[in-house]
Amino acid sequence: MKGLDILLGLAVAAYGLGAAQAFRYLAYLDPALEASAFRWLTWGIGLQAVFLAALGGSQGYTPVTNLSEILSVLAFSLGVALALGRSKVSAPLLSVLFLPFIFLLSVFSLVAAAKGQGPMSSLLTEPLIALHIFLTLLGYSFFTLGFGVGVTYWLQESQIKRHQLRKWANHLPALDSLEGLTVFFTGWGFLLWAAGLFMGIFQALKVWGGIPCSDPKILGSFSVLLIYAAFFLGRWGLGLRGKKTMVLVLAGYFLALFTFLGVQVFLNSRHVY
Amino acid sequence: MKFQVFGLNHATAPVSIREKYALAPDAVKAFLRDLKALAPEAAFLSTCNRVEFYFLAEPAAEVTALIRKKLQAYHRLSPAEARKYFYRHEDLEAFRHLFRVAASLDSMVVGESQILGQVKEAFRFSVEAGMAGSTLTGIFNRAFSAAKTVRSQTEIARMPVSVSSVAVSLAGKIFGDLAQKKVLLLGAGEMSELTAKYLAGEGVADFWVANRTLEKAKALAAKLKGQGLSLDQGIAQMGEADIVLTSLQVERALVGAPDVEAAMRSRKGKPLFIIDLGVPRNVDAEAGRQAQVYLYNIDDLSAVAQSNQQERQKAMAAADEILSREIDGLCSWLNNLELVPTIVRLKERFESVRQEEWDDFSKRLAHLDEKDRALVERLSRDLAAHLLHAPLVTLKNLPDARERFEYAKMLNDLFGLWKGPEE
Repeated sequence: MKGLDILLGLAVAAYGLGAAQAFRYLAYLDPALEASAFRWLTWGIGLQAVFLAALGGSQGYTPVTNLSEILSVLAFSLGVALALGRSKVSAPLLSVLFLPFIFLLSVFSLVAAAKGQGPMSSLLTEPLIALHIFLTLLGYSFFTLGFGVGVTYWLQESQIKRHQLRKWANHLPALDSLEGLTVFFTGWGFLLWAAGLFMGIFQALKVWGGIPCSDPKILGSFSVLLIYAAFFLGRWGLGLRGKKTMVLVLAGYFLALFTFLGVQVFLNSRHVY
Repeated sequence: MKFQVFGLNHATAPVSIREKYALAPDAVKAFLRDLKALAPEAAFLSTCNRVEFYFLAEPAAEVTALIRKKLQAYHRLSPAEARKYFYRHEDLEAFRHLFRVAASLDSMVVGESQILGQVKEAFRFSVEAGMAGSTLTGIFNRAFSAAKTVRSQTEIARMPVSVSSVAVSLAGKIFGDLAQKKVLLLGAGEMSELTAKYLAGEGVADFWVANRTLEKAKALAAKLKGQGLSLDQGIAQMGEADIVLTSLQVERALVGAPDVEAAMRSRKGKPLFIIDLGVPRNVDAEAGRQAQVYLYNIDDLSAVAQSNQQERQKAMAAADEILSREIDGLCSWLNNLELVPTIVRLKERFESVRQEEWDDFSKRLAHLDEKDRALVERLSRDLAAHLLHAPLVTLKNLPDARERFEYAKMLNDLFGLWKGPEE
């Protein structure tokens, strides 16, 4: 395990350096610093991919069975989503917003790993369940980025509409680009989330013998899909643009967040987490 | 040699004086060649806001006197009048001046982008006239690099400060790439034309120009390679345009909220940017309340421009800090050029004084034998070496590049290693 710990530590260090460069970018506004932050992010993603693959190989199941592994996968998938988004539109402030967040998640994952937790349930080691969790985590990460870009769009749009342009408005992409980026993140999130739910249905049929439709986690997950479907329908079917559609992106994300975290805290669900 | 700047600018001389001193490119080269004997490395910067000579010379006074004389002869100004408007800086102050000029901190409109190109042009002339040696090249290249750093790392140039450039910048914030966007001009006023030209500069290729007088619309459309329309046709075309620019002389708003509403229906939610440059306003303010419609009138644009100007002023402190760092780097580089010759000259000066004294004393020590005379001469050498040792070690070990540069300069002045400036 020592080699794996070193790999995770290196990934965390790369994210940390990326976050540091992102903060330096904020101070000096030098595009070279943002480019450097992005290079560290890609190193972090690469190292973490190797770590997750090696961990899965050594354990014999996909590493999504305890807090440390979940945080690690979440940091990794957020990194992947951010890197893909950045290759589409250059939005330095997004790196500044999300790189420290990714770094923090990876640090928590490292701390949790040090406690040496085993799987929260043996069910989680099942390949289909693992795939279900992995895909929904990936989908959730894309939704998170979509939410971040959506909020940015909202702020930028309000500034332009009210004629109150603040200094940082110059460092944000155009509304058109932000809208395109939101569609990109939300689109991928939708597909991955839907694929994750599909895997979940298979497993539910196998383990529970049916789909417990009253389970709040399942209800929430399908509602998230419905809200995002309404977003795409509004945009492509009814020609809705701007804030009207962004409301759906924000609502969809809040519901996804509640489904992901809130259900376990406030409601009862048959899901392990 | 000292790096100096001698000239006048918008802060010291009114335009009526500045325009008298401006030189055409050919005259600049001839002027530089005339200076060559006194100032082997020099550059001449002539813009509408400044006329400045940058040169390396020793002594400086002869060069500045020559420049003044030539300019006075050329422009027939009295010496007193000329002296009133000119300034001269040397060494650190001159570096700082050049760096501030190149970074547009000394411009009338702080942060404007033209000046860097003009300084580069001035340097190019100097190179072509054979007046750019390694020192001047090093200084100017560092000034260019510092200016780029200031532009990329501060807000100094990011925020547009004219009404037209604010409008174009806003269009960029809404649409991003403007190349595929369509622009409709309602009215063919000067401000509209200027803004349209800015938009064309950003890649806009599709223009419609509508005016009460169709001929005028067609004339402007021809300039923009667009299409001329009547005013009614123009308003009907609003749904097709991404940016609408209005500058009509009207008594009341010509474009009402229902017109914009109709346009938005056909746009299927795509944003519409309306720039209303007319006074009285051409577009009903209510139209701007609709979703995806961004309406800016002349006051809105002016307010943004003014606030941007204030931001630029605030960014000056950060820019000056960057320039200080860059000037430290320049001093460090110059130290390598200046320190060694200074030390060599200082040692030579001590040796020549010692030799003079020894020549005088050795006659009076004729009664001593050869061995004792050699001993006394050695004493004089050791004494000179010991006296020099401490200051030279201090000079070499000074950690701050600026301080080293200043000390070297001071030594040069104190011991007369170079001839000082003579006014």
